[in-house]
Amino acid sequence: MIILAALLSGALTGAAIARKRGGKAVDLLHYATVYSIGFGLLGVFITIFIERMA
Amino acid sequence: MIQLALPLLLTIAVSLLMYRAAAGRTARMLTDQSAPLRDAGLAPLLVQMARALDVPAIPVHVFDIDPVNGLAAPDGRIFLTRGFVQKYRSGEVTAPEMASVIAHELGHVALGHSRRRMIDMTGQSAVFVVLQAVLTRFVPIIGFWIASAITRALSSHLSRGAEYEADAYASALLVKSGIGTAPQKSLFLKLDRLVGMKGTPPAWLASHPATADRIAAIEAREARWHQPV
Repeated sequence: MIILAALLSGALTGAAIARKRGGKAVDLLHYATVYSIGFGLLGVFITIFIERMA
Repeated sequence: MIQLALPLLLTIAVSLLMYRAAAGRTARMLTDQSAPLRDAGLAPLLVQMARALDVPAIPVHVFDIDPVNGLAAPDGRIFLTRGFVQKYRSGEVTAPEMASVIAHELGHVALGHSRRRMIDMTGQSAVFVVLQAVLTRFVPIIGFWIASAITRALSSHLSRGAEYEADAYASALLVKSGIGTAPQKSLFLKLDRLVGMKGTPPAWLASHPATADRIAAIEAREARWHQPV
């Protein structure tokens, strides 16, 4: 579920950044997607790390 | 991007530490309040299961509390509560039925559910923090409750999945060790009454699947394995 949390917060972060830079709805969506992929990837690594650590 | 992910990373780190602290406390409490289970009736069944698994022995501990339950500790130890053992001693639950509980808990251990649980609990706190931050902004006051309901529904869904998997492992182990799936089903029929549940929680919030669904899953396996019912 860490990955889900990462996807969610990535989407939020991306949308917030796009809005701050004055983007339109599609830009918000675009940034949300990209950041959510990036954060999600980070989430995958964290999950693997925790799984290995235990 | 890393500094933007910092709130997320911190949330995950904090909830992971909290989970580990809680797990440590639980493990100590289990150690302090338990004793090895020695029972002449169960011993031969445990030997049969140990042989099926190709392990020297299956140690089981009795956790000194009243509620009827079986549990698998994160370190792999298996516990039955004193309340449960009493139901067995008083004849309400048979030895093969107790073996089916032990097989179920073995399933949790063998399938690595405690590790998965650690990740899910950590993620669950993180999901809650994120959802809660968004929802309270758009839906004041009750946003908090909505976030908590969504998070709980998610984690219950995962928990029910783990229970089905442990049930399947138990069926396989019981069949392989020659005990069969009949005691697993008959125990489920007694379970609701034994646990003393007054009214069940809504299905999407329950940590365990409904008894009828669990029995149906066992029967589906029997049909698949061509096992005499």
